[in-house]
Amino acid sequence: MNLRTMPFSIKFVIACIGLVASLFLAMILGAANISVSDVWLAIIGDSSKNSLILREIRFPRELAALLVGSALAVSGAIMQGMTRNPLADPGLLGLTAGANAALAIAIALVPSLNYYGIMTASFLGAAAGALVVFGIASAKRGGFSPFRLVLAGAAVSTFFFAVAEGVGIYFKVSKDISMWTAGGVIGTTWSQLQIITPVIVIGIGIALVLSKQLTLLSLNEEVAVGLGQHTFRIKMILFILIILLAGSAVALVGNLAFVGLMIPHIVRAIVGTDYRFILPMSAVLGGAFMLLADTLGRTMNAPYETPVASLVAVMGLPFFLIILRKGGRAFS
Amino acid sequence: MVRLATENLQIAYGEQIIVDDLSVTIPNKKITAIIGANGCGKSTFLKGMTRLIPRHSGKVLLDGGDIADHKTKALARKMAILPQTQEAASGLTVSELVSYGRFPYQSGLGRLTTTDLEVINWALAVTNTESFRDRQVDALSGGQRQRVWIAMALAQETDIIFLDEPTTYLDMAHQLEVLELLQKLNVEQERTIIMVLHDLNQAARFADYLIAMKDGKVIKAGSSEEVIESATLREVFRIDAEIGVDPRSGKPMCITYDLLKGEY
Repeated sequence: MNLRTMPFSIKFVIACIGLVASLFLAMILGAANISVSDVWLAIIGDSSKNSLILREIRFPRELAALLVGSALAVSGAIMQGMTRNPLADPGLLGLTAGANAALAIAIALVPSLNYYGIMTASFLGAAAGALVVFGIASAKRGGFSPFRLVLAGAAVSTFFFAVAEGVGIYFKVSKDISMWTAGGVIGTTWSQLQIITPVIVIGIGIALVLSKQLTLLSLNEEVAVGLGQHTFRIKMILFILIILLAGSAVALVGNLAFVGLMIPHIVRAIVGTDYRFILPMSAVLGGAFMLLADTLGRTMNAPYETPVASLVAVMGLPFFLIILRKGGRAFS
Repeated sequence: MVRLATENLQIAYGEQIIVDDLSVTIPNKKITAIIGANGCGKSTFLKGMTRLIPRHSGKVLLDGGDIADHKTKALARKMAILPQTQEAASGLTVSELVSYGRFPYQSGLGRLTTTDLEVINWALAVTNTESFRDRQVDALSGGQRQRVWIAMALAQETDIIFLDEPTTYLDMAHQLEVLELLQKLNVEQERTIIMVLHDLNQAARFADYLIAMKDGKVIKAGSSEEVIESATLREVFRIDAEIGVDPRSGKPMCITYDLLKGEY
């Protein structure tokens, strides 16, 4: 049986096993010396030092990695389908930078901002970033061409990052901002997760329900209209989902480009081009990928942290270049 | 019985009016071809009639009501549209693509029912695409691919089928293949077919009713004998055409032509 003929269900089960294995690795590998039995003890509510470390530091952190990976991968896949643009990624198309700038402004204006505030700012910023990029790109007919969109994304991102920097320096809040935006899951707490988990889970859930519509939209918009799709309504809902997913990811980890680009491309090579398969697979593999990346970041130079954003970028940039070189058709 | 007609239809891109005050009646259960030079608005007219692009003013009437008052899914059960640019079907297999023709009948996640599968098989059989149903659409030849897209439109089970230049980019044999398939669907199943055609002689040969357009207006509409004649071709295509009779089909055909004198 080769990859093409293997039923999706089997591929999906294998991917889920991979995700559980990644989660497991992420739990036991790290600066503190943790064994399998420690993990078990922590889960059943033991109160030793190791269990506390696990429960209060590592569990939330790894759960955050998983959620962020899934959210970014799914939002990247939706963007790619919607715009029929293989280079779409929340980090490349201005969402992350927009959320960043909004965070900076929010923190500068309200230093005591709580987590709901952080999240709302992220959503608003992500929406603003995306709107500006899509607005620039669609100002001309045929504007969603991969290169125009990426160029607009790069320009707008640079602008928003400059805004964030400027606000940070002017209001002397750079340190506070960078705590949010450094691009890592370090220091994630349960209370943050309590707020963000439902957003991401529901967001992915709705995306899965709309996956068939997304495939149709990704084929050809005129065909979709002819088949009776409410394309405008569907695109609006998908757009909101992208904002929610990418915005939550920024609220949790800050800047993280390329995950939303890479994972859907790898997934397409495995499951084909039907978004009913791409979206669930992206969620699972995105989660597994971030777990492994974060584990690598924690362990490769322990006890020092290697920033996971840098690790992802080191992997993502060559990947981006390959896709670009193949005219967006690599791995699909 | 009239099922489909437009009343004072006007379509504009921004300030520029592409289709101006068009009132036509599409004959039921016939093949209608829309012809005209590049940029005359024929594709835009087709898109306007099928709600692919918004209109500026006027009406498109289907069964007595404006199509804007139909639910889009209900409309998709009455009319199917095959746009001109079928870009890559990005990895879908033939039967997967054809199954999307059942979209207007589905709700939610869209599982295929037995009826759906029967219709899909029928559409594949009619278009002679069964033998490669599990191959990827992108791997097919142009003619095969066009037949697959027509199969998708057929799976919609609509009485009315619109096609925008269905023979463009195909070689001669494949062009005929597609047109004969459409003719068969019209004759055997009484489907109303409305298509934009580039080739005058094909339009004359296969269409029962021709609509010749220029600058967003209808210059002449009628049977091929009425439309394919030198005065109309002079005005619509700005050519000086020699009209004869196709010895096989008995339809008028443009044998040869020159540019109009003094025009460049």
